[in-house]
Amino acid sequence: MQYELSLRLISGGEGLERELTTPQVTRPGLALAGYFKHFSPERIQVLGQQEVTYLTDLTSERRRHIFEQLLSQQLPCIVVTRGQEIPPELIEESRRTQTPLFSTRMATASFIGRAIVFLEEEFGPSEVVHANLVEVYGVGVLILGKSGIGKSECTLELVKRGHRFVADDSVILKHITGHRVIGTSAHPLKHYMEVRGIGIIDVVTLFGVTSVRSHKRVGMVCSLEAWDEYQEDNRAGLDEEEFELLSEKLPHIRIPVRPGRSPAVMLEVATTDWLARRMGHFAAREFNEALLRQIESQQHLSAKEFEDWDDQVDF
Amino acid sequence: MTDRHEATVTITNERGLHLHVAGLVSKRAASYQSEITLINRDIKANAKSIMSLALLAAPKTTKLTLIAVGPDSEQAVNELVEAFADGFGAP
Repeated sequence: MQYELSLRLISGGEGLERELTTPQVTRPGLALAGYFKHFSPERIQVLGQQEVTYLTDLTSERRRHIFEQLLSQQLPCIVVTRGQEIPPELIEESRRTQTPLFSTRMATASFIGRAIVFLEEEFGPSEVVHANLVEVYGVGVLILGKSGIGKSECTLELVKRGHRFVADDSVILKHITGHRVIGTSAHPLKHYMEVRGIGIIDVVTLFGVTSVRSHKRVGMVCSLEAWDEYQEDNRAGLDEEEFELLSEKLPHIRIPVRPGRSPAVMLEVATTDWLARRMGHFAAREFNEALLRQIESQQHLSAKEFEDWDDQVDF
Repeated sequence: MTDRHEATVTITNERGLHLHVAGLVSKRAASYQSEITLINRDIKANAKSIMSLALLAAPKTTKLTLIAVGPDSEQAVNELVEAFADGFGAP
């Protein structure tokens, strides 16, 4: 989750401890003309080409006066874009008031865009869950289940099958704008995992750099459930279950687990089927529609007809 | 002697034995130890298998023969007869 904002500190570094309380960014525009009604000093102040050009047209004395007014408001920081030359009065005032002053070579609009994305992520609600996160066919699958149900084994098998590891055991989930939930490992050493019977392994060393991702958007939630606790509510797969994660509703599948069954293969197929549904192929519904047509026309498959199927379908 | 019980059940669901109902039938049938078979004319279906039940393609009012073989076959037949009469709680 690193966004290159190419910020360079010019002056006022003593004020870097100032707390930023809002993810919003503003261009002070009218405040530079001395109009401070509805001015939001708590936001990051961005000076673009227009602001800087306006300021250079003023006398040095006027500039000094404006900066005194502006910087007396305990701003979190000021950013001058496009690598523009910074008026010396601004640098002086930033030093005096200990207001951090940055320069970036990015254009104003793209800087503001990236800064907002970054800040909303930082400010968004987050949560740590006991789960694993794997990218399966491009979909981030959050694997939930009680301790000892086999989350790590399932993750390991998925990685062995060419899918990508994101996190084992503890996942930090972050809610960001655009209704997305992003997950990353809660552990400082991100790509290690613990597998019962083997111990701690390093996924990158064993499976290569392409087998890991630092973070991934959660697209689906998969619960591994003990065989005898599994509630068979949706056997035909006609209904789509949902799981609420940080107030986002995500598709949810539940996989019953018992020795000898491979939850990894089930998870792979469930993910593929979900991708197919998103492309408009809902197998269970298509099957049901065909069945309803058949029921309506009462054309039962005769015993003879299904002899031809014999080698394809195993009843 | 094998414990075997039999009854006739009627489909009461408006749209027949479609996938949703088949799911409910198979879930209930799977809760018994007995082997449970449903017969519609010449088609035999394992009541614990959705795919098998779909083969019956049974519309409303179809009469099916229900056969249970196993230690709990009597209970299975009695309870399933009731459940079919109720349409397994589905429309």
